[in-house]
Amino acid sequence: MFELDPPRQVQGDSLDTPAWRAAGCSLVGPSHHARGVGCDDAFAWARRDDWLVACVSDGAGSARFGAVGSDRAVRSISERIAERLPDALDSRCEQVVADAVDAAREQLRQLASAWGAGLNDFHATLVGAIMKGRRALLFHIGDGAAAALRKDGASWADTALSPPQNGEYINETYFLTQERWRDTLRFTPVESFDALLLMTDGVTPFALDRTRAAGAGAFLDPLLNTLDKLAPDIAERALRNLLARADVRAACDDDKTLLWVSNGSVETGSGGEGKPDVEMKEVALDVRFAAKRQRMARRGGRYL
Amino acid sequence: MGIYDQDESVPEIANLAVDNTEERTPCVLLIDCSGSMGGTPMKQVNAGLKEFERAIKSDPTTAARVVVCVIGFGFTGSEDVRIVEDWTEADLFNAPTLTAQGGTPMGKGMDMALDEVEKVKQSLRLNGITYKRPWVFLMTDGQPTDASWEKSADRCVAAIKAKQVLVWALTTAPNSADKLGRFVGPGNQVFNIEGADLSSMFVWLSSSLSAVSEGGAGESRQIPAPGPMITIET
Repeated sequence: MFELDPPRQVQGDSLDTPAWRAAGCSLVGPSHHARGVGCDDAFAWARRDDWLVACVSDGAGSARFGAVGSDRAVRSISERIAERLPDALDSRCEQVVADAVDAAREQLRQLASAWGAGLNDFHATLVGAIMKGRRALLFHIGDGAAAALRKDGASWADTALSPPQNGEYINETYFLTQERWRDTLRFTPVESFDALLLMTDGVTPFALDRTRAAGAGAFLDPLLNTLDKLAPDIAERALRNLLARADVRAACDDDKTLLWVSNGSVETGSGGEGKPDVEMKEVALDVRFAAKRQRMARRGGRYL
Repeated sequence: MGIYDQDESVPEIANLAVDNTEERTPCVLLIDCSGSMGGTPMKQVNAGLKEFERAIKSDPTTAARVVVCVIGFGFTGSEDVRIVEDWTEADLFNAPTLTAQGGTPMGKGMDMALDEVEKVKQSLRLNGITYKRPWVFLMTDGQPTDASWEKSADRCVAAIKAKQVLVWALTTAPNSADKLGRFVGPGNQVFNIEGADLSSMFVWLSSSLSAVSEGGAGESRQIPAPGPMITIET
């Protein structure tokens, strides 16, 4: 009745044009890999003139065809947006995005009925950006994140961030395949950026800081300083190396997607040199104090 | 090239810090320490707690993601409900040795467990650490003896309905299932573990916590019911 693509393990691509340098990588997470399951993440981009549209998506592991949902959604949505862009990056773009999501949902619905499935079998999140020059519009349903950054010497400041949206519990999020998708579709305008990152929830635990409302400089600065000096095809391989690193895998065992876009040319200067080593920050956790309270309690103090 | 092998021809991204802000799954072990648990049952519980400690520490992901608190009810004197081990990360957990004495203030125990769940959620939120739905693992051999247990049971049912907590109710006494069922509400199971080695239930708990703590966002995990045992509909 239906033909599934073989499970994805890794997906990589790069883009090198006068206007854009871009690289992306999706890599299966250790927990999926150990169970012989593929990567449910996907990414895609589409160009028109000097515009670039990019999307990443995380197919829900609990949905039968989550990997199909994410893959179809990113391709369909980025292409459809690129086809229907207005003549300027303004609020009209929001309607173009909503229409593209609607069309992707319709496509998935048709696939679902052909496969004897439901739209909820294709649950997938969506993080995307429409970019033109130094300006952008971020669009987002569910978790994952989009960060627009400006270079300031050897460090990068996030000028706009579209943070993850979860229910109270981290394993609850929102999908473009849900009935109430319009209520959860968020937009964030970007007035000026030098680099833009789209990521799924396998990357946000260490790419964002604890508040999840800002980027983690200790992660983003070295990353962007390195990518800034690389041609896109090399950047793509560097991204794969990064996502495959043992410390990155240990930090989060989920599938990981990281997509990088730069609107500048390859940085050949010596920026970043002389920057002090960044030390691993200890995760200070309030519950650690529990051990102290316990010891007090054992010495005859009160509990709590 | 293996899926996680490094491509050495590419410049390394140096000095990059990967700060672990992994989500936590809080779990309260709410254990009946009343007099009737004396002898073999309490020996099995204590062995089970040690096995639980070993198991949750043996898997690095679980050790980093589960936070545990042990509450006992029973005892004698004014503190008939006690935090035996305060909230601690799994990798720092030390199995306590419990003793059996006194009545079965299960309602008060559950109240304290629900209070602790809210406390740890708040603490995690303040630290910017995300979390999954907390678990309360209730193990008993009898019926509540405290006067206002029904009020506590109602509170527990409301908390379950509001998805504030997931409660596993295990009993070795089938005739206590009706009252225990009041804590989890209609449609939710009380697990009869009569005749089972209680320590094996702690093994089940640690492996189930592992499965849940490793699940990704939007992912539901199927875990086996605590058993092998008969399921009592309530």
